[in-house]
Amino acid sequence: MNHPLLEVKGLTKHYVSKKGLWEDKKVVKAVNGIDLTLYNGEVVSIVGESGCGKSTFGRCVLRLIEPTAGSVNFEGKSLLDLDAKSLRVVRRDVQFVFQDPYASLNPRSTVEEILMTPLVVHNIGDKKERRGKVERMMDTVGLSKQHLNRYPHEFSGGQRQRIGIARALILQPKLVIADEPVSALDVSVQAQILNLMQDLKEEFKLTYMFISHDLSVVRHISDRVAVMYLGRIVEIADKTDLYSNPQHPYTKALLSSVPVADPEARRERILLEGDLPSPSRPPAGCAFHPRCPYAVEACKSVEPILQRMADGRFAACHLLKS
Amino acid sequence: MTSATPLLEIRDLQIGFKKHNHTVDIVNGISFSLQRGEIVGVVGESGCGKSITSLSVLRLLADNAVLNGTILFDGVDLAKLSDKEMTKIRGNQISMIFQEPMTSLNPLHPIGKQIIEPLIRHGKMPKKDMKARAIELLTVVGLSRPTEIYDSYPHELSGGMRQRVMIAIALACNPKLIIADEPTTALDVTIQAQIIHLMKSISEKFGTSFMLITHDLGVVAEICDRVIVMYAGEIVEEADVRTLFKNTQHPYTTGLMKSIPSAHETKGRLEPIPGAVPLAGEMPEGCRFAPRCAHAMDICMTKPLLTETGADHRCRCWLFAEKEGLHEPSLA
Repeated sequence: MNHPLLEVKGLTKHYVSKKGLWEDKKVVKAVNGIDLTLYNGEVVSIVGESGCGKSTFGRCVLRLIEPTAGSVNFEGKSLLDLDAKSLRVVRRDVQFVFQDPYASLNPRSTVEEILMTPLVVHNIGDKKERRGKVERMMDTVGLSKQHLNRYPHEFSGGQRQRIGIARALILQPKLVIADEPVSALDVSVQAQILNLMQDLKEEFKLTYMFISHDLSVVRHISDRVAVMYLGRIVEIADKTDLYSNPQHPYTKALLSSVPVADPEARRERILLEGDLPSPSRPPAGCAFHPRCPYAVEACKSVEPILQRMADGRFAACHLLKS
Repeated sequence: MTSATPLLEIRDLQIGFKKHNHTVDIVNGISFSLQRGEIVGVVGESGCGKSITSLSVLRLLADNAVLNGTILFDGVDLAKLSDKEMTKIRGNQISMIFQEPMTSLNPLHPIGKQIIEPLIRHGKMPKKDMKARAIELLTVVGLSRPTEIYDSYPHELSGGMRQRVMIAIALACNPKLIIADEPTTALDVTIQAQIIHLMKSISEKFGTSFMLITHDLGVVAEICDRVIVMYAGEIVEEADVRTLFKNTQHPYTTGLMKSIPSAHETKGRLEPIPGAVPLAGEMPEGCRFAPRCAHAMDICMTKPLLTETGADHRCRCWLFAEKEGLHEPSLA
C-alpha cells in the first residue's frame, strides 16, 4: 500500500473561450490545481456534483484531454513529458472505463473485435494467444464466449458495461480509471457490476480511480474519497472518516442531501441555498462561500488551501484548524 | 384531507403497443388508487411500465398504444374522454413534471410566457392578472428574483432553477394531481434535496396529490406516503411507506433494497438480483420475477395474484398468498 503508483501535482485544465466582439477573454477553470496520490492496490474516489471537474480531471491524468499545467507521475514516469509513442506504452498500464456503455462501444464491431483491438495495438501474442485471452476475459467478466460474434446492440446495459470492463482489463493494466461506470445502470444491475469490479480488483491486483457523483456507490467501493467543488479538492480522507465525520461544510451538506432509504429516519438536513456557480465566473475567495452556511468575512476574499488536519485528512476551509 | 372516494382510481389498466401485426403488452392489468393530498411513489427499474402508466393517465401515449381499463379521476373515466375533453383536464386538473428540465421547456419562449400559457388555455383569470400570478408562482417555488426570471429564457437558468420553473407551470392552474416522472433524476444531489423539500411543502400547503415515478428508493422514503412497486408491467407490492421498508415482502422489493449501497452506513458485499429484467414480449410464464428469484418454487409457474397480505399491504407472491391462506395454490 505504501508505494505510490500515481502522483498528480497541481494538475490544471483551463479552457479559454474565444473572445467575443466586445467581451474579454473568458477562462473556464475546469480543473484548478489538483494534488492527488494513489497508492498500489487502493480505490480512490473522486466525488462531486456536475461541473465540478471530476471527469476532466480523470481524463487529464491519462492525457485524453491535454492538461494546461501540473505534473502526472506514473511509476516514476512523467506522463506529461512523454511523446505519443511512449505515452501509448504507458496506457497499456492505465486503462479507462467510461460511463455510457451505449456510446463507448463501436456499434459496427463485434465483441471479439472490440476486445482484440487493444491486443493488436500493443502487439501482444499471436492470433491464437489473443483469441485465448479474449475468451478467458469473457469468462472473467461473466459473459459467454458464444457471444463473441455479437454486436454491442445485442446486449443489455449491464452486459455492455461488462464488455467495457473486459476491454479495459484485457491488457492487464495496473490502474483503471472508471468514470461513472455504473450510473447509467438500473440498481439491480449496478450491484452486479460493483461486485464484479471488486472481484476483479482482487484477482488482478488493480488500483482504481473511481469517478462518481453517487455518494452511496462511492462509500461502498472506496478506500479513500476526494470531494471536488468547482475544480478543486475541498476534502480528502479515508472513507470511514469522511462519511462518519465530514469536516468541510460542503462535504457535510453533500452527505446530508443524500436521501435515506428509511422513512423512520428523520435527520437534520443541511439544505444548501442556490446552485453551483459557473466555473467561468467562480466566486472570489473560497468558491463555496456563497452557499456556505458558516461563511465568515475571510472566506469572501482569501482562497483556502488544502491543508493537513490533525487526524491526517486534508481539507480546504478557513474554519478548520490544521 | 381524506375523503371516501379516491382522487384517482385505476382499474385493470392494460397498455400495449401495436407493432407490425401484433401488440406488445407493456402494462398488464394494474389497479391502484390515490387519495386526495397523498403522495404515492411508483417504483421500478427501467422497462417496468411505470412511465407508461403515468403517461396514460394524461393520455399522452403514442398513437399506436392500445389502452384498456378504467382511469377514474374525480369520478370521470379519463380513458373514455374525447381528445377535446381531455385537453380541458390536462394542465388544469392534472399536470405533469418531466425528468429533463432541459428539454421540456421551450427554448424559444421566455419563462413568463410559458407559465401563463396554461392560464390562458384554461381561461383561469383576466389577462391583466396573469403576470402577477406567474410571479407569485415563481416565488412559491422558491426562486429569488422572480421578476427577472419572468423575462429570462430557459438557457439562462440552471438545471435546478428550470425544474422549479417546471413545477411553477405545473402548479399554475391549481391542479388536484401532479404527476412527476423522475423529477430529480437529472439533478445533483444538493439540488435534488431542495426539489424534494419543495414538492413536499407544496403538497402540505395546497393539498395537491402527487404521483411520483422514480427508481430511487431513497427519494421514496423521504417523501412518499404510499409506495407501489412495479416489475415487468405488473404491480408486485403495494404498502404504506413505513410498512414497505419495515416489513418488505416481495422478493423483488427485498432484492432492490439489498442491491443499493448506502451513503449512511457501510454495508458488506452487495447482493444483486441475478439476471436482467425480461424484455417486453418475452415475459416468462407464471410469476414474471420467478426466473430471477431465489425463492422460486414449482408453484411459481402459475401466476400469483396481488393479494391483501396485511393492513394496507398487497403483494403478488406465492410465499405470502399461501401463508395467508387467501388463495389455495393450484399446482399447474
